[in-house]
Amino acid sequence: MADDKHQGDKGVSRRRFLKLAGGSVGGAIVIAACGADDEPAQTTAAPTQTTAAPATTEAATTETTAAAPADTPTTTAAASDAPTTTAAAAADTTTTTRAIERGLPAIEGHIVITDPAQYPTTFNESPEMAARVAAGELPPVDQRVPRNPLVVEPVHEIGTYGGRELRRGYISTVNDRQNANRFNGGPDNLIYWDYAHRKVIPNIAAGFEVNADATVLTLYLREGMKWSDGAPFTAEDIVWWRQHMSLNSNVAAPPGQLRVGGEQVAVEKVDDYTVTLTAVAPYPLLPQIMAGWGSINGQTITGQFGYGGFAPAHYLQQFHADFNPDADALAQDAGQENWGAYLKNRNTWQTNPDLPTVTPWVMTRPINDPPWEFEANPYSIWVDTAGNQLPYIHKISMAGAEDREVLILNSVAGEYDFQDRHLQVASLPVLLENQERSGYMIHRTPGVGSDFGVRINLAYDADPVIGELIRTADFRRALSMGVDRDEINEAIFLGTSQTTSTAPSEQSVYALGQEWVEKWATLDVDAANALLDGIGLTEKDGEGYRLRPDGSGDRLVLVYEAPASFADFPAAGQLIREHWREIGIDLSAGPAVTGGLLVEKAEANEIMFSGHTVSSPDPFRQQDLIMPTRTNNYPGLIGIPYAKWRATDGADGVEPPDQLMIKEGWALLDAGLVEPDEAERIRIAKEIYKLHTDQVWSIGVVGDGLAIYGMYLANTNLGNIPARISNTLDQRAPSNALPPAFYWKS
Amino acid sequence: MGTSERPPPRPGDTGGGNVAVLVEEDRISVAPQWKLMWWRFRKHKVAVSAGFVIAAFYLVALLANFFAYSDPDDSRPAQSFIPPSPIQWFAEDGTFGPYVHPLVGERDFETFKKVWEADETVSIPIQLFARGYEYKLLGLFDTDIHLIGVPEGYESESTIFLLGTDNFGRDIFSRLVLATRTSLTIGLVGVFLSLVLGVTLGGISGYYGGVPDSIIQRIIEILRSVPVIPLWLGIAAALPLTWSPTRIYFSITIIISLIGWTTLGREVRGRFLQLRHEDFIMAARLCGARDGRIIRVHMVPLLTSHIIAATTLAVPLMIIAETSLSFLGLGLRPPAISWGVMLQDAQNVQTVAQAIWMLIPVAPVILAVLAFNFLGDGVRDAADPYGG
Repeated sequence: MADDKHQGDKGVSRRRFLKLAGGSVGGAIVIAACGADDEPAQTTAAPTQTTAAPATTEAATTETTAAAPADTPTTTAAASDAPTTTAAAAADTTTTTRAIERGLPAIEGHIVITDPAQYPTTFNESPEMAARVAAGELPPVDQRVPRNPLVVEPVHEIGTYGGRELRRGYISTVNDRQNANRFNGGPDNLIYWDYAHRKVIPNIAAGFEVNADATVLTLYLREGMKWSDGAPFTAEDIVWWRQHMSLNSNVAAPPGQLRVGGEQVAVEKVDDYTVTLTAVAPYPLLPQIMAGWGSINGQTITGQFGYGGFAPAHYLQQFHADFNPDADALAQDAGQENWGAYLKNRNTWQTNPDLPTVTPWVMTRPINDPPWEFEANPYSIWVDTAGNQLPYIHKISMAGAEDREVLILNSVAGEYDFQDRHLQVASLPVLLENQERSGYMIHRTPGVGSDFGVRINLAYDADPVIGELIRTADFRRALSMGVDRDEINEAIFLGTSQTTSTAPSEQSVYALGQEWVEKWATLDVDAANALLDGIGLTEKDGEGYRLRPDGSGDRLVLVYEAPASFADFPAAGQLIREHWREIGIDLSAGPAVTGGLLVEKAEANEIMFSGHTVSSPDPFRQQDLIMPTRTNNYPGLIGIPYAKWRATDGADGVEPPDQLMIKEGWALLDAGLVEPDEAERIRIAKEIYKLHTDQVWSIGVVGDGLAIYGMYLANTNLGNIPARISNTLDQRAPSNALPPAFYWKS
Repeated sequence: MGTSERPPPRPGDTGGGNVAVLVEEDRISVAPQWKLMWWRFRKHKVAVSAGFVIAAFYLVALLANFFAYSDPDDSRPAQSFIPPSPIQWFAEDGTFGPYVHPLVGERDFETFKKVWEADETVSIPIQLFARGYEYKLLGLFDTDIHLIGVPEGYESESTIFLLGTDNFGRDIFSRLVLATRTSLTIGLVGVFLSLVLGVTLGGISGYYGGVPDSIIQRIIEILRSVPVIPLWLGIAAALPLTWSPTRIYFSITIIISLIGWTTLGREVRGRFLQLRHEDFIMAARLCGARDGRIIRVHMVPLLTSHIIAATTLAVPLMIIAETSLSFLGLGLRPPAISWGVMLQDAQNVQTVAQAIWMLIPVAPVILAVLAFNFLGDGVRDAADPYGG
């Protein structure tokens, strides 16, 4: 069985991929201000594979897929017993095996078949669809799926239709839209990562090709593919989106991912099923960027901003002023400001049930009217190797929970069949304890990259005295050395994370070694005090807190604000408050603030310190958390005025002072983006990380743990649940578990 | 008044016939008001017990750091979620000598829980008046003596866990003691301010009537229409983040008391309206007494029972307000320690499922509120010794 998978694996995509990896020259990318989501940058760092990489990873995959399927808790427990003992034995001698890794199965996943010879020739459909065909509501299944469908070999076995709806949970506000995007949404990227995050493979598009100098990306679409309303999906939908949405200032600002060398990438239709993306400069990273998370990565993630990479032209034209002179009146009737806003409103998958999509499930009941419901898309392009149109499970019902605690309680009570979002690491013991009683299993998927750190607003100037201190490297270093990372790891993350600076994970290709993981990042109260004394903060008040350096005699008070999102970041702030008391720094760590308020304050440049993930696993693909490059939203917490200055070439915003070394960082970033040689690009990335870690632009605390999407709960009666998936934002995890292939075993 | 209103017989006074009754009645007719109140109050057994409870609470509040044995702010995540561990009173040979076994804990990476086991080979004696963390006794004297503790070479912080530890590994007993101080005192100023404002403005309004009455009553109406929780939210957001949480909360209670006096104000006004037409007031006025004297000497004492009752009942309301607002995250916030803050820490699934002892602060809240209510009841009865 494993061998079969690998034959299937050696498709067009891999050949194309190798070509693209070899022929990289470089080009400037600006990751655009696109999402309104507090998605941290977690990515398995695999920026560009060397040609040797796929060959070696093949071997690893063979073992992975050969591993016993984790169908029931019993078999999994049996399968994980052996690794536990070996890992424990290894830990005794090497001490490198992390406790969190013990007993974890290998990453596994479905295989996308790209060899047309292996495509199924006849198609089956679910009883619900068959009934609608019989009633004359739908054409037969072989007319609904494209001629070359998206053929997948499920991770464990071919499933069966039927059974009840799949129950999930969300926090009943529109802010939780990512909850469905990352599961029910497909994903609907045109091209996508394979399950293990090793290479880019076809997805909505049937294939892609990059020319020799990496200036032209050609996308091949699926002939006979339909939108969920039955209208054909063609090159027109991509070109129309590019022309009439992404480049129409009434709708959206042009996404930065499609801007290279100062020019927009031209998107042109060759024929109905072929589209070319042509850049003026080489843009070797474009396929990887398209496969990941951002403004050109599917209608479900960023459709509401007018982004997505494609759009249903036949449906949206009626709301577009260029096609309907009454569009503005239509918008005002609907209570929208103008046609641009209404167009985006109509292109929002989460709230508009009429919107045609290419997702495996279509939304039937909107997010703002719980329960949020989805039904199988009759025109779904996913089929299994036996010709069954996916999804197997007809309906998804997402119950609205008032808050995270209610959602966790429902999870513990077995009210959900699959849940990943909002499960906090602190609740892991409770979740594990109730596995058998409530008939679910918790799968752990440790991430790679930051779980928590302190984002410093380098451009803070609401209080100039504190702003000046923040821009002093030794001040930031002292604060970083004053944090007791082990305590935070133990108290907030159950000891499951690794203490670290902002240096890349040891598992990353950019790993700099233990010296950098510890750089300015181990508790050293004496050294921290010496640094603070060294920059003139010598005066203290009666309680031992340092005074402001402006001679006012007032105590220096820093403010930390954090949302209680992926982990209890506000509580971490209370611990840091205690730690910094030892170095004479008074930190005011308030209760949780909502993400919306935090972003608003950041955009007004009123945030000093905030708690969230810091840095990112890839400086080129996710550059906005490494240095200020984003002018809004969560990444803006590290210095919006500087990002504005960079984005407008100095016309707006504030120029970063030389002492911050931000400009050096930007220069390295620009150099790396146009660097054709991969080894050199890695070297440049490492330079960026060294600069970041040495300058302590953010304070890294813990990483590589379970905090960020690090576990998922699945009903034990569900089939095709991977024992462990690769946990990355790039893959919209857990989309890479391939939810359409989930089925009820009995 | 009848003989049923007699104060309870004193020890040795067995109630010997008519003579004794007459003596008693003499005693009552010549006794000053406070003595009558005391006699009456003593009869209310529940109120007396409640009084003792409250006295004990405030004693704990006064000497909080002395009763605590661990630094309440000392986070030690390595010893989080230790269950309550009682002191062993007798050694194995049966002799008295309180001791504890040290706890050894490790995280089980199957269940991800911390498992704690007592190391029974070692016994650490518990001492009275032992040395621990440093604090200021009564805010005046630096000392490190605590009621209980462990001998030198050990640390209370990592040895005694009477009520277990919380998610940060802080000792719950010690935190509870410190929380008692905060929760029982922080609202008192607000209560007092409400009292002064209510009596003064209500008195003016009722005594003078006319224009001052109209003005004050309209102000009261406006203030009463202000919803308290949104006001609380607004003030909590408006006060600077750089203030300490205690200072913020204190400011809020003051501001709230500025609108909280209205109920008492209305009641006092009503009584004044009624009293100012009484004959003895008229008599006092005809004798040339000034308004101030009439109010102070003739009217306010008649309201004492009501004011005392209102005040004693306002204190538990203040305690509940602190606890519930802090529980909602609007009142006191960490690093301040109060009952509400401690309960807010317990406000999650893992606590309810795995560390139920973090809900212990509920007990003192209930006890204190009940005690104040019983005391208030007894005081109100006693303050009106001639009433039914």
